[in-house]
Amino acid sequence: MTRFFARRVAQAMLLLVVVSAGVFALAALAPGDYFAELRSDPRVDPAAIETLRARYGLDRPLAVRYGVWLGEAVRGDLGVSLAYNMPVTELLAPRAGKSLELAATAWVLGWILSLALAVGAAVRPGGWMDRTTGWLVSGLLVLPEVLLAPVLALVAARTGILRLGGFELALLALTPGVAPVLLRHGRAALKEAAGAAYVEAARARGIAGRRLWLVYIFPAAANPLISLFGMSFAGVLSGSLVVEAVTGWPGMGPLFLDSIAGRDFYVVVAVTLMMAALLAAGNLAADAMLYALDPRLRRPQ
Amino acid sequence: MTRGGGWKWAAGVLAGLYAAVLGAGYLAPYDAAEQHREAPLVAPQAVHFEGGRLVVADAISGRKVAVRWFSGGHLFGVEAPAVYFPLGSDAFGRDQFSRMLYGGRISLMAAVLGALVSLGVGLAAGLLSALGPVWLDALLMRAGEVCLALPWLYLLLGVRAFLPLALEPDTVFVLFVLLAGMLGWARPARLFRGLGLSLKQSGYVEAARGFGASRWYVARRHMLGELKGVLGTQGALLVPQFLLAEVTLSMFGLGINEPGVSWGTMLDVVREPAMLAMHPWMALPAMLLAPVIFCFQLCADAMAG
Amino acid sequence: MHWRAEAGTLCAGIVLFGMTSLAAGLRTPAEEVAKYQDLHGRVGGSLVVYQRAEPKTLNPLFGFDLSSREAIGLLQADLVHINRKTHEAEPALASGWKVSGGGRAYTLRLRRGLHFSDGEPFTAEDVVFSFQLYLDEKLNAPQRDLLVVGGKPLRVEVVDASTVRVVLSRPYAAAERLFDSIAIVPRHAVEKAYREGTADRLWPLDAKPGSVVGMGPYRLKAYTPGQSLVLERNPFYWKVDAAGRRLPYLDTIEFRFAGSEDAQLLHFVSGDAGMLSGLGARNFEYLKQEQRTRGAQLVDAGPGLEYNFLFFNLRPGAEGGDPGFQVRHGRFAQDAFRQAVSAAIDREGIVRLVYGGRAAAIWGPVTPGDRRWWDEEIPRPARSIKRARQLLGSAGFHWNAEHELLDLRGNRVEFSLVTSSSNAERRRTATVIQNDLSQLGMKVEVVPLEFRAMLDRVMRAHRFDAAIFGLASGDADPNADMNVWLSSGGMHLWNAEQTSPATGWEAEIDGLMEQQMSEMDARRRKKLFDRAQALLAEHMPLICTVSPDILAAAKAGLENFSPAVIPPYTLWNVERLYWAPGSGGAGASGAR
Repeated sequence: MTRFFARRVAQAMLLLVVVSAGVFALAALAPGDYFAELRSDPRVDPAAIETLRARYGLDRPLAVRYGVWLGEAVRGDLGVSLAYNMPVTELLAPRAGKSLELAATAWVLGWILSLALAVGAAVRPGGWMDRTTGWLVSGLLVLPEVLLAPVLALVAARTGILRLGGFELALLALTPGVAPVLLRHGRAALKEAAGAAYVEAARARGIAGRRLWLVYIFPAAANPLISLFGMSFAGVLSGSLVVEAVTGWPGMGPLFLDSIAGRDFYVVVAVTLMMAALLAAGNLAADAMLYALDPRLRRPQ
Repeated sequence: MTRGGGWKWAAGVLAGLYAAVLGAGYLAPYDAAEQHREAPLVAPQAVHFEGGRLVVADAISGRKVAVRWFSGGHLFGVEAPAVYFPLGSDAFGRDQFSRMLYGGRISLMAAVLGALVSLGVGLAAGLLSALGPVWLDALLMRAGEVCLALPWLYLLLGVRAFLPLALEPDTVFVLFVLLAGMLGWARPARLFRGLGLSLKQSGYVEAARGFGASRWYVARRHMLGELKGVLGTQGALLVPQFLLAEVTLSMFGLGINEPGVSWGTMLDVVREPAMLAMHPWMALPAMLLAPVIFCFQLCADAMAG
Repeated sequence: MHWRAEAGTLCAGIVLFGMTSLAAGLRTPAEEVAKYQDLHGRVGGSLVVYQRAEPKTLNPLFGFDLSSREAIGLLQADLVHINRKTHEAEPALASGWKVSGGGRAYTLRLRRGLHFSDGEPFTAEDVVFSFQLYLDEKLNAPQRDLLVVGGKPLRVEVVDASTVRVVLSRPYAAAERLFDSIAIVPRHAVEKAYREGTADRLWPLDAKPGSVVGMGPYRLKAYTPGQSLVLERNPFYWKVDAAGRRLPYLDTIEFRFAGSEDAQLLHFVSGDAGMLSGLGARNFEYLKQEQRTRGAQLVDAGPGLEYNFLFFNLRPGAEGGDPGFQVRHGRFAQDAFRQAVSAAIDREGIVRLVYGGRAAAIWGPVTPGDRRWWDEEIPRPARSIKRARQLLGSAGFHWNAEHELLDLRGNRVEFSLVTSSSNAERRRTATVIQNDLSQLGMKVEVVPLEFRAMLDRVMRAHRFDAAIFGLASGDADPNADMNVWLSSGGMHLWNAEQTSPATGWEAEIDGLMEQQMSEMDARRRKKLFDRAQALLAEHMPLICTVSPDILAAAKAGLENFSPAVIPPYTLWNVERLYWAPGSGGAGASGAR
């Protein structure tokens, strides 16, 4: 057990190194850098742009830049934002808190709603709940947060029911985007489990109601749901970045999108690393749960 | 109505839709790129029944004109210089109905294509990971995490920079859908891996090994049965995801270029609140997407069941 | 030679005089404030402004994005300021100036007895120090190039405690305009950082409020990351109204960050924002229809200084020797080809379809909004496909049976047209032009590229056929755009940084621009520039399309709201803004 986790944590660290190297490589591939924007100002001398680039080390080879960054990152210094001229950690800390607050709430809410609806649908296949959730999934899939958020923001601004930039509006825009994937999988897994032969057998033995669900159906449906659980949080967080930018929630969404477009390199690296870490943590948690649920997964090392 | 009937009905609708977009040249009254600069942003126009004929108002002059059938190589239309937009016109005075038909060609094809690529790669990686050696499992799953975490937009922008500027619009788009599809394998892979592990746990694979090759068919049967469920579910989720991917792609100049058209580019206006408030019918493509995606879902359900 | 000062050069209604002593609690009795004789406002209230993006820094040397500039503009002041309405240079921290040495020396008289926002006195030493910062080669601030005239940096010297002299290496017309937006920073607060080599890291957003010091109408009060930047009135500001009350009127200006232009719009609709600038035409149209914003002040200030244009890559040997490009380049280089393209473009269509009528069609880079330099004589022919065909025909182009345009050798005329994917208006313009040119039988591929990718390709790598671009002059003066006009300039977009002019007309334009730069007589200067404009319009290296209107909105009751066409469009007269009694923002946060 301990060994399993030690190995996984080591893998996660390695993952972060690979991801950071990947971002460096990709960013070098994308044309233009942060100071390219100055090129569109008729009054700025190209030499000034070169000085600025040199000041931030953008003129050095990629490998050197990565090496320097990695050395400092290990000591907790994730570099400086080119736009804000401020340490990235300082820049991100207050915003990341806001993003996590929003994403976590939407995530929990999304899971509760989806599971409740999925159970409702699975209890009576073909019943009204089943059919409604089918429509709901389709409806929500067509309105992912990219499209839903602007509509909600417009309604909020015109009616004044919800405050633009408020938590409720952002939550309302984000949660529906979380739900369909969970609902779709949850519904499928539960229906599959509810229809399995040994559940039929249990039913035949007169086991019904809560006991049937808790003892027979849920454990059987748990596997895909747990896998999904692990990676869903990082997904919600990346969805929240878009929602934040549209609804005005002061998380790291607007900053991240601006940083990508503006090639504010170290900010992009830091946010990406954070997402990767959350993803790795989620998957690790999911694997731990699978491990706990099924001793047979403990493969020989 | 039972589920069994439902999916046939849905498949029929989808087949009809594919036929319609392929026949856009005949069904659409105008070319998708044809601009009528005198009639921009016209609302959907009603059809009246007068004196045994269908009559509509000319979008430019407002005069009443009769709908003509089977003329000029189109199913229906009005005599030029009058114009008629059944679902309204966009900011350049282009017929929204014709654009939806033409746009569906790329969207419907690319979405399915992207989803298939994602599923294929995901399936292979997931099963290899579950059934293969431990090191391969670790390698594939960590690689998947890397893929999920990296900002691929940079890669796409980078690739775009290396391609020649003048590419046929469709080529660029198909290219990027394929790329996106290949990059989107990580999520399905993890699910397939979970499934593979549970299959292993159920003992079929061991049993098959124990009983020799002749028993493989049992495993295959059970495996396929369960795989179909996840495949269907994932496919039903991925298709709409790829339908909408072009909205994002075109935001960064990676989508379909003018004068090409796709549903994703038509949906771009939804992000503009002023447009939505003043000309809500421009969001019509989004409304019509819902039933299409529902049909995909029904078919996926049927496949899973 | 006379002192160009105060009353003589100011716009009507503003009279400034010195030696007014007021504001109890100030130590120096002889405070030479500026007085607005026509201004009778009301002190108090707060104004909320939603910016598209968060400002990045409060450092006047290195803040170059729009949001930062907007905030810094309220915190800092300059020696001479360009009036955004009249486009004339006006006294600011300098109460007047004198030109001598045939345009080589500017003697500036500074206002006496003024103080920085931390209460420290303002002296000639601060002026010299500020220029030292801006001109420091190691710092290399983006504005440094502006202050390098004729290859040599300006020299700034102290004459006495309240007089400085600026010496240029060559005569330079309207050099006083260079001082606009050059912030006079406090030596006492900045020198230490400068000595330690950290001047570029000065005044980040999270700097302690008291540490950010300036001479602007406001000073920093609080910053909440990602949410707001609150400025409070500078109690030491050096302007007063008719009654002698110290400006500005509004107690606080609160910048909040919307994230996108559409979000900015929605915050105005919901009533959160008191003012909205940089509006797109479609959003402006929507505000006119929207019930909730009925009664708001919606102002169309007319076309601004931004000119949009299409241009062909005239750089020989670009595209890395691609033979296809060589063929295309041969066509682009023909005047008749570019003139035909210009004749075929439906400028009125672009104005109507893309900008909802809120733009002006243009045929040259000087827009009607640039009133002092706009030339009525530049021909503005209506769209004519017929004329375009004649031009092409006379240059040897012809058409095949499918109406496709072929060149002399029988090759199909096709090219790609690059535009920025994030600029919806330019993307739509490209769609109109594509359709226009298809009527000539040309095949145009529109290629929207992400903004920085596009800049990289067009400005640095020069790998493109044609592009749609927009530039806004930094100042309503030809000298601000020398980099565009001169064939050696880095922004001479169609063929940048030439060692010697590639064409006769470019050589002629070079000469005219050099001449006007040192011509001290305004009328003769305009003549020279008119001739350069005419040459450009004739040879069409830039095929100008439209100049969008500057659109802005404010809540009812915000008095003196008067958008201008030079940025900052709406906050340029921030010290004069006030809330009418009983109106919107007055009660919001601590009206008196």
